[in-house]
Amino acid sequence: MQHSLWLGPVIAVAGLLSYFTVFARWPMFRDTAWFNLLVLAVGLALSLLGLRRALVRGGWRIAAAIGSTVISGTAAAALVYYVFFLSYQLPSAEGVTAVGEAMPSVALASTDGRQLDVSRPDSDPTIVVFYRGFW
Amino acid sequence: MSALDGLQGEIESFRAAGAQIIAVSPDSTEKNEQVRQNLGLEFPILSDSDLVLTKALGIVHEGGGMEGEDIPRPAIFIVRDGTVRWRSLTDNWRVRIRPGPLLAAFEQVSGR
Repeated sequence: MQHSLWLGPVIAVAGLLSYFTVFARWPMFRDTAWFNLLVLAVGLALSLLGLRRALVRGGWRIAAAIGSTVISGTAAAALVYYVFFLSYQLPSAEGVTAVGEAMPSVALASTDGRQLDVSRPDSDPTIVVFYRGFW
Repeated sequence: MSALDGLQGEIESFRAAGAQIIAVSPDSTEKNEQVRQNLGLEFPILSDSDLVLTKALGIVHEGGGMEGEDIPRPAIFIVRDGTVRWRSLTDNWRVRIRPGPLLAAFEQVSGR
């Protein structure tokens, strides 16, 4: 079963990329990334299995198996880094306008062509959602 | 983006509760209009491209953008009578409050 040498990296890379392109859309997949982490674990396991087999059989397979493991391992490490470290990189909440404090009065251009001031909305109360912008 | 998508998905529940939603982004009005149309959003997006409101609220994420630009951290405020009555700041920008708990917070603030 030489499949595991190439199947491992293919599964692992697909597991990494599909998190961003597909699964991050739905909170149940996005929040813990459990599904993509599982896919990456399968890919890495296949590569490791191939590596173990290659070490027994020797020859050129060892180099291929090492390459396979490096690719799968890098993909797995990238998602783990993103999910468990990078996405926690936020400034401290200190100094953020707290409950009971006034909403700053600033007029901003809206998509409906008007200038809106979120401290004086047309409908009260109002939910104001800040997001990071569209990339 | 999925956060706005998620809110739009529950827009009827928010409407029924009398909850108006206003989104704020660091993008231009043109970009916001594109996003609004692409996602079919039925609530407006304000452009805080100079981060005036973002800075006044203390929610600037310095260098947090894709190209190292300053952007707002994800945050939600419920405002009543010009005062912040509830807020949600995530500690992980992948994870946002879901529409259900947000609606519950709104109902509590609006006293209904």
